[in-house]
Amino acid sequence: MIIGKISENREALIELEVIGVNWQQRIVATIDTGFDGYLTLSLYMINQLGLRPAGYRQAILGDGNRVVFNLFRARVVWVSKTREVPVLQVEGDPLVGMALLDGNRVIMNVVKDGQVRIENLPLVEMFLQIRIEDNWHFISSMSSNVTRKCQTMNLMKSIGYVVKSLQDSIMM
Amino acid sequence: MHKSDITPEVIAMRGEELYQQKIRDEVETANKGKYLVVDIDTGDYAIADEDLVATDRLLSKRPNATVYGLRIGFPAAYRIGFKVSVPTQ
Repeated sequence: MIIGKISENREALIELEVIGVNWQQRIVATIDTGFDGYLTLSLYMINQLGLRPAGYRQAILGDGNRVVFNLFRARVVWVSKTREVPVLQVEGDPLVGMALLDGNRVIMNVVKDGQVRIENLPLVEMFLQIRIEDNWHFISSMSSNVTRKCQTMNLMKSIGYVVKSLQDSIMM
Repeated sequence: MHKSDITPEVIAMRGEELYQQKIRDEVETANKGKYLVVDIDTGDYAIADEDLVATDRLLSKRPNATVYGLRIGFPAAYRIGFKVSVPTQ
């Protein structure tokens, strides 16, 4: 489990152990759901950690501009295991993107100093999630069948009630 | 030209050219969303679900290759920040 907190500026911050060839370091990173990659680090941090290069990649920024970035690789201690992830060299504070969060559950109490918690998505829920996505049409049609059945049962009940009322009135 | 003389922008341009002209038609339909990395000197490429897996595959053939990577069917390998625009009146 990874525990972080909400900053004064309402950023979700987490601490992350990043391992390079030269060094390993605990960094503070901001969760950014608008970033679809894994992790960004500044050139200074990349040099300090001694990350190995992995070529060049383009990324589209929020203003629509395409920019070419250097890509590196780092090992990151994540929830319950160490993973090797691509790291984009971007100046500014480190960002954690949606690809690193994939398969996890993120809970945030969005108040100042509120807790941010990242944990493994329980296997049962991951399975159910997949089942729901794969079988959505089946589940929808099943639920409408159930609705129809309920409606039919209500009609039968109503008919039964009318018949019983008639019987009662005849007997009186 | 020495490798250090080539700017990242030139490497990206060369990688995009190789992809558009020689690779795209062969791979795009069946591999949408996967990562493709190309050796900009030889035109060799590798495809995988994960960026670093594709990169490792390519570098296993030529460890000093200059690698450019993209995401098949996407405008760029990564996106940083949601697209915003000012409403026009």
